[in-house]
Amino acid sequence: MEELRVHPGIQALRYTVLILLAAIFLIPVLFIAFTALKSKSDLLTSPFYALPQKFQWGNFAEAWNQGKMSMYMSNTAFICLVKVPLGIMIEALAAFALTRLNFKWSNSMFAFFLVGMMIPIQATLVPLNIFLNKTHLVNTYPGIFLVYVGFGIPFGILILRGFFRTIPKEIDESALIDGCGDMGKFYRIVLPLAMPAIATLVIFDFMATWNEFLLAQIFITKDSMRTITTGLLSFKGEHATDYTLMNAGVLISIIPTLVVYLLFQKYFVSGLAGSVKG
Amino acid sequence: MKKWILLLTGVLLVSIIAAGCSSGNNSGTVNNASPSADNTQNGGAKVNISLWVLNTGWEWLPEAVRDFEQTNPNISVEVTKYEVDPIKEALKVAASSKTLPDMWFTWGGSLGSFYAENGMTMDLTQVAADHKWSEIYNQTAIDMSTYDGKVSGIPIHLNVLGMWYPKNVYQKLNLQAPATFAEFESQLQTLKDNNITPLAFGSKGGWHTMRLTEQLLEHFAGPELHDKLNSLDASWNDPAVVKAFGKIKEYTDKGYFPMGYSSLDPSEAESLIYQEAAGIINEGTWFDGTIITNGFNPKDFDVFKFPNDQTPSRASVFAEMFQINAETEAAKQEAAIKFGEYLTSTDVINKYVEDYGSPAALEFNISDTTPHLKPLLDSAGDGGFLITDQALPQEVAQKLFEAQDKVALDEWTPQQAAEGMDKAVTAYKSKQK
Repeated sequence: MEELRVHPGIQALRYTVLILLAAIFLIPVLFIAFTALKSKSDLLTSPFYALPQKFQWGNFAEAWNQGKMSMYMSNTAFICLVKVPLGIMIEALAAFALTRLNFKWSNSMFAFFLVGMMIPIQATLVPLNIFLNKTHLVNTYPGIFLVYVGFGIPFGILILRGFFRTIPKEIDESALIDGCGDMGKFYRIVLPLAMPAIATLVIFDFMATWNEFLLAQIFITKDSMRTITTGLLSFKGEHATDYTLMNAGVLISIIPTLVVYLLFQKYFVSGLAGSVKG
Repeated sequence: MKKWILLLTGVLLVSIIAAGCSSGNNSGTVNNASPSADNTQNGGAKVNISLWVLNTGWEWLPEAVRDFEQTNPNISVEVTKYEVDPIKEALKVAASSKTLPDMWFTWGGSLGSFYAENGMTMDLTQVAADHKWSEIYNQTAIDMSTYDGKVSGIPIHLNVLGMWYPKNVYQKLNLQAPATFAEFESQLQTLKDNNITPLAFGSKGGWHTMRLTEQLLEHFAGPELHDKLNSLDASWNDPAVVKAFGKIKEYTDKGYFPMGYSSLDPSEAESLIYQEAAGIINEGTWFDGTIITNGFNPKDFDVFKFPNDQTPSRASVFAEMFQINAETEAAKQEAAIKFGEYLTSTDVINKYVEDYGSPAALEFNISDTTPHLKPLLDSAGDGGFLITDQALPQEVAQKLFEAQDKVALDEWTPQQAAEGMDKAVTAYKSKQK
């Protein structure tokens, strides 16, 4: 087959636009890196876009130690490692039921789940605080998992239901003939075929959980349980902020999300495309 | 595949159970406002009090708590630390869900008044009289912890604002701290003529410009009207308010502020002072510490009181305090008072004076590292007015920030800004009825 030729001018224009877009996204990261590598006096006496006079690599070690980042990152990693698979498992089971079990009110139930996306988290803080206090779940991991999983469910079901619907039902019928029950269809057929959507959800969910701030600041008040987003605030005082260490901390804190994205990115586009069909 | 899923599910369940067990000891400890008193120790009932306080700037607290617990073995203190914005958010959520701790740190003015006016804080008026607080704490700090005639907090800090400048800049231009408003304005022009940004203000958030606006209001309106404006007892559509906004417009047009100052972060504006590219910044008693933290020497800077040409010449001040839960049991309240008075005592201040901040107590030793603390505190000797964002209800304060920005950006005339403020006050008052 003859390859579709693109006019060199259009190709150049395309690359120019892409480079410009990349620059728009990368420039803030670059300034964060410059700030992280400056001394405090260098930061305050030179323009923010200037290169550091002397590269202060020690800022990263200082941010790591002073900001207790190993503890905060471990706590956040633990929360992500439990919350993300647990949430996706629940969401996948719900999406499977909604798309495969053919019960009467499946569409209404799907709409009910979606309502969860429309409730502002801020409006739930007080009732959640009362509930978690009464059940003694404040400052406990089960309390956090409960809240995080709950808020993640609507989006997860939205993505997975869309993808599950693209899997032909004839496969289900074949599985039924081969003796598969509903759970067998779920584990052996639907779940393996939905890996791109699940990988997409892992990326979204991991990033959302890793970067979550509002709920963490209210419901995790014990320092030994704090997450990275609230931990980074320790560089911000009542009257002054240590921007060099804070930016060094920010750069360190984005590494895990970057790793997760790189690991799952090959599924990302197909997962997202499938999930929004039909 | 099935085995893999089962294995994963098993691991998750074990993790959750383990997490639940490991965190079980922590459950309910922080947001639980009324943890039951523990069993006896040394024969007496042990009282456990919970305290919410700021994280940064309170690094001395754990040692002070240990000392207190050693001398008071029947009291234990459970400290929860928050950053600035999170503590405001957490207190509001806790207040709405009736899960406030036994005592908490808060700012004075409209931030602290919320808890007092809604009956959530213990009335400390009798305690203040019995314990002779007027001989221990600065009266201004006590006044700023008092709402509707009731003392509702133990004063910790009294912050006073002033105009800071790099000595080098003033020496090079043969300038001295101005004594009058006219002299102040003339210095702004001198600085501008010498390519130095006169006012290092970054008004993102509104505070920097607000600190100038309130001094201009004090200058044009005088103390009496200024207080009435802040207490919403006078109309903001007043010639004095128009003149104050007019000055903001004039200074903006003359280039006395950094370029784009309305959206500039205060810390970016502050950097101009260290570069000696700007002449004056309006900061408070905490600024010696900020200068040191940023790697500079406070002795290279000096501070003057804003010359508002009024008698008495009042400074902008704000207090910080500990409030005590009105609902908590009496034994805990008693322990909380004892602990609060201990933390604000001269002995504790002197022990941690380098990190303590600007104490509300009358007697304490001044550290060499904070050379401007005493002059600033003394500058409030003629009295002080409460800083505007704490004096005004929060929604009216937000309107003031908006009005300042709109005047600077030519979207409102000073007259429109005064009218806008007046409308916001009327709307706020009608909601309160």
